[in-house]
Amino acid sequence: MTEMTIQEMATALLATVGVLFMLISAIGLLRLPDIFSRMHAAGKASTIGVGCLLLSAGVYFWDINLFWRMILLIVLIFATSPIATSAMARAAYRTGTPKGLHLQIDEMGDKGLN
Amino acid sequence: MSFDLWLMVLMTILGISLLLCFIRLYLGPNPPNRTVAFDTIAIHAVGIMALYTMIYDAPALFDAAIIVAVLGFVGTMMFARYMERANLQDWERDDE
Repeated sequence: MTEMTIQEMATALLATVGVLFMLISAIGLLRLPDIFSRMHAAGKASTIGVGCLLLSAGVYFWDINLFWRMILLIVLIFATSPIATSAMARAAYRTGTPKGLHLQIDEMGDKGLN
Repeated sequence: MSFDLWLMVLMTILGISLLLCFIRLYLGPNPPNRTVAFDTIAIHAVGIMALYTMIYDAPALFDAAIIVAVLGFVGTMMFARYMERANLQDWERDDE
């Protein structure tokens, strides 16, 4: 730990935060009881986990072309992940049985939007 | 502990996390659970590529990471639209 520069320490810190969030997200994906809470756990990996990992790669190389590519990838993931998650949630609600889901509020079923 | 060794440790932890996602993909009682696991596996692939570029100094792999991210999004959307339209009702229930 003594021969690391400031840049390497920042890289290691960001990569550690990202990897720990992805590990927590995978544990939640395995342990949580129903589909919507699993989806909530998977959202952590796709936002802060991979965002911190890509930022750490950008800090490590510290090149302006690679940094723009990194920003493009982060923006792409941040733009596409909520769309995929909401489409998945709607498909899971419409095709599954509401009995096994731990829902407190069921607005789609109450308003007849199902 | 040197920097490269720490990146290897992080790669190992990320591999264990990917293995947990594959366990959910194997166990998951119905197709929506498996699709969520597939989306998380695609995100893990992007993260593993980001770590791989740092370990082996190969920044050309970022293009591959962009392709993997786009393909994961397209695959998840395709599975979601398919499950809405397919009208399959004989899946296993979610209450395990």
